[in-house]
Amino acid sequence: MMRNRTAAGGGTRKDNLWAFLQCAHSLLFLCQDGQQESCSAVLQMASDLQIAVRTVTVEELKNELGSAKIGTRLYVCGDYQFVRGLENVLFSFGITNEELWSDVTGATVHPVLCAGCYHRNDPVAGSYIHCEMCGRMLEVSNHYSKKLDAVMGYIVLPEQLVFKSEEPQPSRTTPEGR
Amino acid sequence: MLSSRFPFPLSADIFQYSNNLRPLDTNVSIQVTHEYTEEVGLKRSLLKQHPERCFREEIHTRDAQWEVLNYVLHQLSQVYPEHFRLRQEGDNWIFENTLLGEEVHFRDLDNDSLSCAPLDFAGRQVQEDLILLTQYDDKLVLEAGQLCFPGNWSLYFDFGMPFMDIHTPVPGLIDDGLAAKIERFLMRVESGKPWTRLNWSLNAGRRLDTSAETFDEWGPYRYRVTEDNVGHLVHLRVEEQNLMRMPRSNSLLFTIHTYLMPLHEITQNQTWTNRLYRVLCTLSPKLVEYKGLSAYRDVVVEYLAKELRVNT
Amino acid sequence: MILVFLARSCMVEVADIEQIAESVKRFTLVPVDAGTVLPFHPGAHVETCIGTRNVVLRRHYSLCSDADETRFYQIAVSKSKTSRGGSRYWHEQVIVGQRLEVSVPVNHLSLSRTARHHLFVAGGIGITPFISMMLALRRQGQSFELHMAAKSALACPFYDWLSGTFPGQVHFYFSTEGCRLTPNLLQDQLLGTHLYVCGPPGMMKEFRDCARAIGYPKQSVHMEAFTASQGGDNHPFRAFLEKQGRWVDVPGHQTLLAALREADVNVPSSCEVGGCGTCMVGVIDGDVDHRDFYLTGEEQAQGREILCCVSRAKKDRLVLDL
Ligand code: HEM
Ligand code: FES
Ligand SMILES: [Zn+2]
Repeated sequence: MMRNRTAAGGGTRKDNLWAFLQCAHSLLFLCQDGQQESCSAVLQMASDLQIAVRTVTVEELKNELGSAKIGTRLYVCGDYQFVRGLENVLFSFGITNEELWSDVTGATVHPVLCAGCYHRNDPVAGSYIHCEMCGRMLEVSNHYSKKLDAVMGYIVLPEQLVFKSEEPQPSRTTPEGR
Repeated sequence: MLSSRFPFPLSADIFQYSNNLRPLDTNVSIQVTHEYTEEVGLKRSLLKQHPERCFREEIHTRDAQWEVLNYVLHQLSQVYPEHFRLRQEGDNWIFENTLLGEEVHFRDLDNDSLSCAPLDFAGRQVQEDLILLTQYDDKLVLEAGQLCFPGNWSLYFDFGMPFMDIHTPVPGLIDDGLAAKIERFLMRVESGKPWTRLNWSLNAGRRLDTSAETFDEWGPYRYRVTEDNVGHLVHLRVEEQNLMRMPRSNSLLFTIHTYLMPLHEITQNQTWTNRLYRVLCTLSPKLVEYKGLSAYRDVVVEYLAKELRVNT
Repeated sequence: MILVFLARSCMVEVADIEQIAESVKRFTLVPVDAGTVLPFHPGAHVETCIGTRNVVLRRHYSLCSDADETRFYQIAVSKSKTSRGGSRYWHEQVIVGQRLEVSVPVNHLSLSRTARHHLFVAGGIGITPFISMMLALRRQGQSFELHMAAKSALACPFYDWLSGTFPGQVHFYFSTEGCRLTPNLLQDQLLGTHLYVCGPPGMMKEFRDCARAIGYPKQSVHMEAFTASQGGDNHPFRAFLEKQGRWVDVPGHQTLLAALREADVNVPSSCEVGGCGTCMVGVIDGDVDHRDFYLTGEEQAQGREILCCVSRAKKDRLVLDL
């Protein structure tokens, strides 16, 4: 599963990637170990467009950025933690969304911040959890904070579950507004 | 004499989200009402008990915070000269708050001369919540705020977020492209030309501090609304929100003044009752759920219908 | 500290007039009542409102004093041959001691908070907003450079001051010396450079297009969009409603929005001053006289939308998507 985190408009992945590379004069290429094969399409397209590609390591990145010229585009590929770490470096350097393409391999699940006690609960797949710290029942939302790297876990009341209990599949119902 | 105020939020019989900002013609963005002492007192005690919930700042916003402080104190002393006075003695500024019997001395831009951050200090003088957004090339980011009376959101969580991310929980606002348009508009708000809008919801219970953090304290009242108590328990909650550009820092100040009025008082006004009734009848299911009305909307609608029948 | 917060404008007096280049004068404006003027954000402009016997002239001028200077404002006015009266009046009529109104400072152009390097390109009088910006950058110890075109050193506003204040950071291109300012300088800049261009429309477009082709991100290219939208004449026009297949007359004294409503066309509105975008309607044919500040310059040029609370037809007819 590969998900592109750079919002690049409508089109297909290929169209968007092409639009992304189109005005690049060179490409800095950063790929997590073991993910190389997921990037072959990008490298192929860059070579079709005759864009100079430089493969760099995370350690080399800061130096490379310091001397890179405007018109350089960046491609990042790896699992969520890898990409997020790099994005933080790149954004704090002033790189814009337009200059960056990131592909995230594997699933992206975020820690859940408990609205009641601010505890960061480990990422989960389901819609409801019990806070590991205070025991409150939380609804896992899609409200995401980049700064905290967590989604909001809204407090769920027992009443909310009772209220909806007539419904056929109680485990899948959404409690009424938070 | 301090005034009573209740800005009624519904201007039509149907409610849907829109860019409902209007020019704030008076230029007055701070309202001091007769609840002043009570509400400022409540703010201060919340700030004391839950500092991390009620105040957040990015330290680089300090200059912008001073600008807000200047703005707020000047506004108080110019609009309400009988209650607030601001004067300069050499390098010192002296702010007198006669409603609370306080006098504070400080030096402009000197963080050490105040007991707390400038935005926090400003917020402790007014009933409004104060949110400060920094303008970047392509977005507005919430980088400082004093928030004591949230309508079910968390400053702790939203701190550091761009305008768009803040609004993800609002149904349709992002997907319809409205949020992007609003943000673009906000990025062009000019100093000297403030804007205002009203936001509304219903509250079960008379409580200003409805933070996401304390939902388990105030949320259960939604399930205790009955035919008998609805008129007193359920309140129309109105947030009067003003937006103004700070000319020096180019930051945007967003003020929120929250008003509550129980339904039995709303029903004293036939037009309001009718409006609220019609809006609640036709409100989209998504908004009913988002505003947290699912559990008791029917009871409210029934109550308003009855009041309308009695009065006609 | 700030004294005039509640006011939208303040009265100032012309304290000094200097000829700083061929056909460029600088005016120093001091507050009349308040002790100080508002500090501003680098890159800001004010609207000046100056009265002649018959007309009131409203013009936007960038502030070219230091943003932290609160004793006075300065503006520089270039005498334009095609002047609609504004610059000619400033040059020929305004005298020391004269009073006028200036608005609160407003920014349509401001410094990027994330740039690694700031690249300024000015054509002639287009230098004015950059002065406060460069002074601020220097205080913050940030990296920048200026490229400025003029006819000659004598015609170049702030020539001596710029060379003396920012040695090594400013580059001049004088056409009489056969030296042309071209977008070539956009090449080979460091990643993270932000470009600011202010000058004649042709120059702005040339630099914008070239920057985009080189790969400058959209948000890294900053141009001041002075929309001279102070309502021209309000001539009557007709609007054809394509879907409904009928005409609506818009008299000179009425807005398009009001005329549509009178004709029972329900267009939602909110601010009614061209700011919020609520009253936007699609335009199928006809040139729009844009008077809003909601659409971008680009969108206005495309002319596919109209904000009918303020904007009108340029000529006598519009075809609307209604
Ligand atoms: C610029 C400062 C603003 C801030 C900091 C802000 C913040 C917020 C927050 C925190 C919420 C609650 C979201 C949640 O459920 O977590 C909200 C809701 C909302 N905001 Fe904003 N907002 C701002 C400006 C605006 C403006 C200018 C508009 C419209 C013109 C707007 C429209 C809305 C709407 C429609 C809702 C849903 C409210 C409801 O139905 O109860 N906001 N806003
Ligand atoms: S009503 Fe706001 S732009 Fe026309
Ligand atoms: Zn918890």
